[in-house]
Amino acid sequence: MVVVRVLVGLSLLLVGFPRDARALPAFARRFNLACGACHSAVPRLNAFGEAFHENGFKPPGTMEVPLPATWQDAVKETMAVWTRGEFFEHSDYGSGPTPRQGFAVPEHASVYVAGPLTTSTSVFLELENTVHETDINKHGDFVNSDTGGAQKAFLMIDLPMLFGLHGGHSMAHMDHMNMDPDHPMDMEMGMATMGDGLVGHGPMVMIGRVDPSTNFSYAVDRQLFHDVPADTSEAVGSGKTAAGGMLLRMPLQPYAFGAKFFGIFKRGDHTLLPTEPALYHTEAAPGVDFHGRLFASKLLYQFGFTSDAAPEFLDRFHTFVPYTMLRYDFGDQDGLNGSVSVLGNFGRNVYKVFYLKPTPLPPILPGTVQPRHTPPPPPGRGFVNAVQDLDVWREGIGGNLRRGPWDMYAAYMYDQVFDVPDRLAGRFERRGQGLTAEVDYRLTHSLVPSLRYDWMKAGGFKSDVIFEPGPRQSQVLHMQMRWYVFEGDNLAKVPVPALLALSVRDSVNLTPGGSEPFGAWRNGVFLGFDLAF
Amino acid sequence: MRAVAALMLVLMVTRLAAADQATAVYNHACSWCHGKDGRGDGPAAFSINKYRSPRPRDFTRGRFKLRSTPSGQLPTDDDLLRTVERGIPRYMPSFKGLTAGERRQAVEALKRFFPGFESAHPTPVTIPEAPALDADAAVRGRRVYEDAGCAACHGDRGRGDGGSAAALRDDVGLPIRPADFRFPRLFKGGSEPADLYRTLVTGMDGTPMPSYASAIDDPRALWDLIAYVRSLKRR
Repeated sequence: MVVVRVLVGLSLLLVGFPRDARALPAFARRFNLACGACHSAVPRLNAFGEAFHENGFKPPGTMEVPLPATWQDAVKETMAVWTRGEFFEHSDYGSGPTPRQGFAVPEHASVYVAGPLTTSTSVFLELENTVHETDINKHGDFVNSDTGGAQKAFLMIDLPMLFGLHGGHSMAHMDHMNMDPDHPMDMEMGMATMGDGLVGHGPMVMIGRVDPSTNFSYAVDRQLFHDVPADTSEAVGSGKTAAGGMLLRMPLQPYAFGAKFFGIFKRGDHTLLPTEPALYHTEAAPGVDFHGRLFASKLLYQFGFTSDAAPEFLDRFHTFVPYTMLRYDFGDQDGLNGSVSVLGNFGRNVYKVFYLKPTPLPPILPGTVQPRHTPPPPPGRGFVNAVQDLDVWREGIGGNLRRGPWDMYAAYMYDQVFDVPDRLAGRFERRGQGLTAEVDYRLTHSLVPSLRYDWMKAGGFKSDVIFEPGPRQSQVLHMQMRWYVFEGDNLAKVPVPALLALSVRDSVNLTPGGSEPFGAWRNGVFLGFDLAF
Repeated sequence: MRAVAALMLVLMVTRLAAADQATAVYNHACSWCHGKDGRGDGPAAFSINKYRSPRPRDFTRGRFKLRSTPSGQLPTDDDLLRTVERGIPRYMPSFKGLTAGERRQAVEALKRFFPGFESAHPTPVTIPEAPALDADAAVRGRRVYEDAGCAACHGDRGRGDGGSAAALRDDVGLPIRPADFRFPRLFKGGSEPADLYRTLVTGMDGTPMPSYASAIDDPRALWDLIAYVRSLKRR
């Protein structure tokens, strides 16, 4: 944490006061672009931004990017700082305890170091500090803490470039194009050119703590609606860990990408709340990812694996989370363009479930007289805590449709868990579904109203020590207005390169009632901001 | 492991030679913004500047801002190549990361969208050698600036806030902002003296910026004006 704070401070000093202001964070500064070149609305990517990302943080088709000339340029052109979150909240129950409102510290602060290093290799590092992260341990105690560290940290490598198997051009084209035959090297370092057949870009490999969902039609970590962490009642106390209290609010995150099960635990013995992103849709996890394009760039393929939902290092060796994703891009004009993605994702041993099972019978020692028949268990034998690893399978579809100022996207995910203990038959639903759909509209150059709908039919325990019984279905409607005060596109107005966006949103529980966690989910009005430079 | 290696091999080997390399380069590098048909309506086009100019160029109209040729003429290949290599600050990245051959192929591809290129013989204007652009020249240039009416759009202090700035539109009706001379790094046509000279004599077709080739026919006055504009850079 100290390291992150020192880096943030250092970056403020180094990046915040450049002599000659240019554009926005690292990539924008390096390529002298405004945000709109890559983003339809920060942080949502447009088609160019997606291609920029796929190409290892370089303009599509390009390979060579000169390294910054001086260390000052290296800082300006590879480092960025981003802080975001809600600074004011007013929320209340559908019925019940007192409303709450007040100002708060923004949840997230990140320092980025990113950019191409060589023709074949790029780096991406994000150090994040998150305050007031709420978790629940296996005893049902709330754990409120600050977290941080390397959120994402990976290398992206263009394998054809690395192995010299890029497309390039034939010498015959030089004659036709009247090109300079004295510089054949130019011809040898060319892009992996696209044609109309079975040719493509990549494969690119990402190694490290990767975010595979960036390639999906609805990227988890590029939301116009901020994530809001889980919230607990005042009874929790001020310590880092406190027993009792109530869960006032599930995390506000897209339901489609949530874990979708009540009463399951990550391998680190902390509850995985149903709305927390999991598997392919975690914001980042250690793994290896391959992606590239085929069929005249229309088809993006992706496969790889992570070790998801395993916060304790040694646990990673027990989990294996392979996935594969195909994305088809359609349209090539502003009139209409978009993509459809399908996903298959298996998680081996990624979840745990705790339950009670009968105390095992005492072992029969060698040499003792074997009874002729199995005796009944002794009376009052009792139960012991037991734990079972669960596998999970996720399948889903996502789509994205853009037309001029419109940007619409949706995702539906269906999760199933396996290896549920027989003891839990009838008490544990092993299927969950989630749907998230969103519409954004560029009303003016600076204003973006958005509407998001979330639906989840959760599985897991139908009742347990943490959550009371009740319907495991939820619908939430979010309305938001986001104002881009500046986006690095008017240096006369804002001489320091920066992004500032303010947002006001209202999240409404469409299925209120009762005290179970979905029904008691609190309506909220939030004021948030994004500041980056 | 073998299966993964085989899959990687298949994915790499499937890179067949494109039938038309120029189109392939264009589609891969340019079409995101300029569109497959060159109409400036690629899938990322709208978000470049939303409801304002500049938006990606519509190559089918045959009007180009960044040229070395007189107003109304098509640009030379070198003009187009210069834009591809330099990019346009804030709106288009430099594509120097393409090879020299690929950059020329991109130029070849975009010219196909306007048939006029086939018969055109664009001739660049002559840019004389720059004299010393010193403080005296800047003082003289201030008078040229006033006489030529530059302040109407660029403002008295060159901040792009002249009286008519708010009402300016480009040739497709989008609001357009005059250049702010405090930030030469953002000049679309380049900020070197020769770049400014070229912009002044050729104008920027499709925008309210006219050619001053006939209005200021003395090259020395143009250089003085350039000295003044350069003196406005924020230090």
